[in-house]
Amino acid sequence: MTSGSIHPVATALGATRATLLGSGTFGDTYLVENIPGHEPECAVKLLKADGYDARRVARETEGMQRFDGPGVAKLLEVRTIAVDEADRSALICEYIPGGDVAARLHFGNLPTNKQLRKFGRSLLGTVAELHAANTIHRDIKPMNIMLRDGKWGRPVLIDFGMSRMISDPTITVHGAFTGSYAYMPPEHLQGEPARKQADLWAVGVTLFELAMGHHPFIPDSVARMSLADLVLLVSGPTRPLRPDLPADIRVVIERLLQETPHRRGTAARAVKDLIER
Amino acid sequence: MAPDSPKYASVKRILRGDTPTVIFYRGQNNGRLQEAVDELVVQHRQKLGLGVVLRIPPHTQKSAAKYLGEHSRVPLLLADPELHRNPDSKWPRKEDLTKRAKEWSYLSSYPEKPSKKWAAAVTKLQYDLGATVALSASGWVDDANAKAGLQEALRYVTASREALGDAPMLVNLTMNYRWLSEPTLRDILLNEVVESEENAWYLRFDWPEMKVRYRQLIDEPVLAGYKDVATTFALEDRRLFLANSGLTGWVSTALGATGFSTGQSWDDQKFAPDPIRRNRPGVPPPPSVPRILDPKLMNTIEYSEFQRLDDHSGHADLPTSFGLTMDTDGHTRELAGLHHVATVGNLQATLASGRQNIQALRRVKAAEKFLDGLDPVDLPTGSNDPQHLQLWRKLLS
Repeated sequence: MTSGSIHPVATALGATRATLLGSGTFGDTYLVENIPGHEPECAVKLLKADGYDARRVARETEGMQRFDGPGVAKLLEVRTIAVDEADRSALICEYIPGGDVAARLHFGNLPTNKQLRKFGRSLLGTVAELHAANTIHRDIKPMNIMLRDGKWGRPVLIDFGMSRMISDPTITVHGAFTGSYAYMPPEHLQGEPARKQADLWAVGVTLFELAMGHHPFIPDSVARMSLADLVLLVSGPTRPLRPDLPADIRVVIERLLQETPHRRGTAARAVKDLIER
Repeated sequence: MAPDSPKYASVKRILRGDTPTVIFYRGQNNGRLQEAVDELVVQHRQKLGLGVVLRIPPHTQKSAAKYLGEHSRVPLLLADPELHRNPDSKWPRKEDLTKRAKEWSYLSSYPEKPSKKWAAAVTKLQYDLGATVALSASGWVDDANAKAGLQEALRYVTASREALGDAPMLVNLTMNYRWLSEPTLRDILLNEVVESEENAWYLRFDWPEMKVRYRQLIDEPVLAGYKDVATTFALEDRRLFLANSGLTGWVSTALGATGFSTGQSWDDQKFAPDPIRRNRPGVPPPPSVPRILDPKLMNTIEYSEFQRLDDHSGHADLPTSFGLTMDTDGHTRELAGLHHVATVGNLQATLASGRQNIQALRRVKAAEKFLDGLDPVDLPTGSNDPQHLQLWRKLLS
């Protein structure tokens, strides 16, 4: 593509411009402007060519389409488009300006205690809503949490239900643990299907990282680890939380990171417990 | 109901967990249960949730329909299909269905796979018999392959929910006591409870053999399991009703359960195998010993022992009209049964205010204090010995 020409994704969608925002397990995400019939700015996730047929994508993202709250990015449309002579599934979603939590973590831009409490209450409130409808996100992690308008109190979950579509057997545990494995509870790492309690563990890991700036189990120096070692590590005690962390936040984080799933409780209970005293 | 009749706690209130609740079986020969229930509602009004439960299989269609009709004033009415008795159930104590039980077609047509149509028929039957809240059409949960067994049972619960829509329903499961006493099994159970969006559960645990009849459960690991389960239900804002659990249900309510079911007869006060008693040929069985539930000791003891203890100061507690009648007219089985119901209700109502575990602990300590004040020769012994008290104190402390 030469400079000044329209990106093929934009062309395929009848839009005026497409800018790559990032690449992940499932494909590339673009900020696309002026797709006919949609808001001026949309996020478009262009799924990899292999393994994601349109019907499956529609089925797996059905849960996402059911929610209309501010805590879940709206999926506006699933479309099959031709890009570089291949049919690809494109998920046209609400664009949320403000960046994601992973970027904040990367640059050491951590929330204050008050902001962390607001973030936790809002995120857990959204998870409670999803769970009440028997829906599981399955891939909560900082990269999948946007901050609407950059505000800690307005987290938005993206990539809802996507992890169920992973069919790539080559995924391995490596690479500084920035992927989903670092947010999976022990039972899920050992082959149990992800359930509501897995979402709660992932929220617990995220809250811990935002409180401390590092992962609760994985030492910063480790960049590569076998799955078996990871299971052992996350089944043990967490690294210490800082002593000045307010009691309510500490209690909730410690509970969400319990090895036994039911001891993590429900998201609804965690929301109630995150109250400044 | 007359306009000035006292008001019962509503089903909504009970299912919200706003009130400690007790659900009674009528027993085989006591048609006066409603009198005891009336006494409780006059005394405690909306502070105590009240229910009556019918066991469907031992009844004919006609007698089953009449049973709950006689308690139509009571808000929480349950008609228990007792699906653990179905011929394909893996319940180890299962016996062949009686001729009468066979007449209930749902029991012999338990589907291999959960079916919404069948679940709808079982829950409709409960309503037709007068139930106000349905029990899910689910039965025995085998622990041989625990996780799979529980998930299989929960599929029947899901079918029942699909059949009932938003109508109130209790998740109805019957399981071995090992689900309480063994941490691995207990975690499997609690993982499903916390994962589920079902809010109210009716769990019946098949206890180990009760070596001494009428005594409270004194199996420490099982009691510890009750505590963990009841506490988890309370923390996660779920309602737990413990079927056939006698006063273990009362302690569990103090620890976080919403209520329990029990009855006038020993068979309704527990769900457990009795020791086998063999009469010698030609020797008549021993005469039955008159017994009574002692409100102070929270134990069913011999009536003569009760009278002896009553001569000591500090013994009298939570009087019932049926107990007072026995004081003047003498012990009868019927009055003792009604006194049992009224006393259990009175005890449960003590948990209606303040912190429930503290209220219960206070009662346990008062019982121990009374015993401490007796000369050693006056202490109750044998089946009258309230061995449960120290275990309950440990649980509640």
